[in-house]
Amino acid sequence: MSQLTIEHLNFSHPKHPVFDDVSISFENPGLSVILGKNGIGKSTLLDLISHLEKPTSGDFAGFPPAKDMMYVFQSIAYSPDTTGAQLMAMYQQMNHPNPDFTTDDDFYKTVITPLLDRQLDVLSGGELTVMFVYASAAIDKALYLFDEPLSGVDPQNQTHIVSILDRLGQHKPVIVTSHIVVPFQETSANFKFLTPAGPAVSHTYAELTHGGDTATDLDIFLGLSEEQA
Amino acid sequence: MFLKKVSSFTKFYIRQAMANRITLVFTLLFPVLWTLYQGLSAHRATQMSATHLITATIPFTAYIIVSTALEGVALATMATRDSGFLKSFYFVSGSRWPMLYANMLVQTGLVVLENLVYSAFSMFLYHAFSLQLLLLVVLLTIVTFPLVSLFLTCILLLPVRANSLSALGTSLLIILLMLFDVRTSNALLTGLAQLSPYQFIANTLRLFLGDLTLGTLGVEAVVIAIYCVVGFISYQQLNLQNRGRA
Repeated sequence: MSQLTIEHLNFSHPKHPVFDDVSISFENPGLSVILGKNGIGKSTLLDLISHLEKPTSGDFAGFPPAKDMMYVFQSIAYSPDTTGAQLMAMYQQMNHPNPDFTTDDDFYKTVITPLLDRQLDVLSGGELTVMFVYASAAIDKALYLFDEPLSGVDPQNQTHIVSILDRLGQHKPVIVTSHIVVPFQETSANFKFLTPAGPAVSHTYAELTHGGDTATDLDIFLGLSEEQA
Repeated sequence: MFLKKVSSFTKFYIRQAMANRITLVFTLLFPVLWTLYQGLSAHRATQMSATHLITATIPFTAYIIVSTALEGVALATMATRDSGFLKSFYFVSGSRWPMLYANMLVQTGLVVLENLVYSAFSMFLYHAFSLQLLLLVVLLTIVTFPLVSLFLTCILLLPVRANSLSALGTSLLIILLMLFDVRTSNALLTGLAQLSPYQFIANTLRLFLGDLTLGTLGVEAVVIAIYCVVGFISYQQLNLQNRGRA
């Protein structure tokens, strides 16, 4: 297993600083979940990794070029009259397929197939995100970025999304931002608590919950905040 | 793979164009009404040959090309950028260029249709129908539209808001039309005037009609080179993020 690393990252928006000497690393392959307060710069970090934003300074090592990344934004842009099948076909037509995602597995048959014939504008928010996350995972890229894929999604579809991300992370580096942690309980995800300065600390799910099974997202978040303080 | 990407995006832009069919009518409205006004008020309808007609109506043919390039390609690119499509599609396809080429392809089809309608209308009004010249308009449109579209992507680099850019673009459209074929003794201004898309389209028409001198060919080659270089650099530099516009 190799790592994707960022060291001594500095970045400022025109009116306010965002990162001051931040360092963070991600497993390759592996599922990494970036946690942090609102406005701390989780989405900005993905924008910097994907070259949508340019850092003031910082060393990036191991990352592929932007053209080889897949980035799914929190606010998903879609053509409303497109069907799920058309979306999948469009993504597949432009890329080589990811061999880990085939149409003959149970997940595809039970979760994705019912969405294929429906137009995107009639899908629920959760179904829409599942569709986009799956379509993105099913194409072969060198790095996958997902910005808040669980935000505004019902618990059942959160579970679907996490199962896609976990499967994707078995053979590819996957970086996800989230405020929601509990659905990742059964995965091998590594959690990175992002702060505006200094190194981000890495945790497993068991470390976040101190071995307990009943921790809530709030417990985990407050625990991390206290630890950081 | 690149052609597959262009083909995929073409389907997307066809759906977008079909959803905005009213734009087609709107682009044609001004040239058709103005030509109708001139035709009816000056009683010129029976005195014009087809070649004379196409030369006389070139400002409007050019207007249709330039306004479609501006609205359908440059400003539409900004709209797709601002709605988040451009960056999403960039990561799906791994390049920003298939989207531009696909949109140009769709808009080329539309602008050919618009110019066919306009030219046929003018020929009908002036009783000067010529299939050969109708095909010439099609050829002129196919050759000039992609180059003008590429060149006009340079306005996307201006640090202005989307609504200001739209107003600026429309003003530019009218101002350039008013300055079309204005003569000046100043060499620099004459050179700059050649860069006007209207002038470029008119010059290309003259070449097609047989005005093949070394000077006109040289000017055409230089203008095409400048359009390509400016367009490629501008679109490559376009920030995919909807941020930072003053």
